[in-house]
Amino acid sequence: MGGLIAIGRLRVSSEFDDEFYLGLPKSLAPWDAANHVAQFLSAWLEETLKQRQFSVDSLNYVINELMENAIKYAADGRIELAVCVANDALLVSLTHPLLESRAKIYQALAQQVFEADPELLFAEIIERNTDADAGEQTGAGLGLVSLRQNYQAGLAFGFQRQDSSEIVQTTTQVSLPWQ
Amino acid sequence: MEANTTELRYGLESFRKDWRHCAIGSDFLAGTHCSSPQNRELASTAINEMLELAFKAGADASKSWVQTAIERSEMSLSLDLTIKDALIAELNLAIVDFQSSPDGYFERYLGHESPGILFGLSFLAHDLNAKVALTMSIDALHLQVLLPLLPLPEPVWED
Repeated sequence: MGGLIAIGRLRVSSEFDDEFYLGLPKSLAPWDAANHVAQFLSAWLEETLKQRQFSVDSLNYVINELMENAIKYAADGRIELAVCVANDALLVSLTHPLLESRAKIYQALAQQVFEADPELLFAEIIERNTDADAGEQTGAGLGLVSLRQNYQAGLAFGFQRQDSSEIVQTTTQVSLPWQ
Repeated sequence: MEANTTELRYGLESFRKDWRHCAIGSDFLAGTHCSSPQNRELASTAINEMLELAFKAGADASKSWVQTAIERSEMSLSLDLTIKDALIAELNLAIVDFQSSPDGYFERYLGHESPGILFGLSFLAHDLNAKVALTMSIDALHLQVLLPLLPLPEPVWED
């Protein structure tokens, strides 16, 4: 994996510039940490973007989904979450380092989620889960595809290999259309 | 950062846009260390007082920033707050007054029309039994609060 590999169109746009640094205790479970960050940022953005029409619950779900994956799978390093305002959508981008082996798996998954019919893929993953033995990991991609299927969100991905390391900076961008 | 600390740092410009950001920040910080609603409310009240002071003491909102760190021991919360680019000169007298007796500060200013910039902190010492310490450097104000928590069982969540 070398250079930037993009799946979909990664966009940049902004009309406000609040910037935070958040550090969380290691004692928090990944799902708990993700939930705290999602609740905090969606409440903050609800106040900051009062003039825009968007679902705070949807934004909370998106941030929670992205953060949970990042906290669980990211290699050591910073997790950066950026929220940008575009004409047609609110863009939520999460960038974090991944070990190359895991990045390859994620890239294949991202390609599948990006290209597939979300309704069919959603049903397929649910079916795999139902058929699987207890404890078997079969639900990969369900969160991402549910963003497309249930929240009409657009997805884009970026994979950038860091020079002379086994680390790939991975970006997942979700665009939530304004209501 | 310490392994069991929550940190939040942001510019004070945000407060100028909306005062409610203060409550959102304090709810977040309190929530990461207290599961019981009573202790969460207690911690959020204390942090909110500290953030409000940050808002009042920030010299220039476009440059000032506030950094908070919170750590929990068994029955108390340790809260640290740094206000960068604070109005040190203006705060000097109030700080000397406060440090002479945080409880006394509360009694002296209770009911005043303009109770003073540190009244919120004296409330923490007087009503919540918190230990409050203030220190200054050239351009920053540092605030340390040790807040005793209520002896309530904290729910334990299974991962």
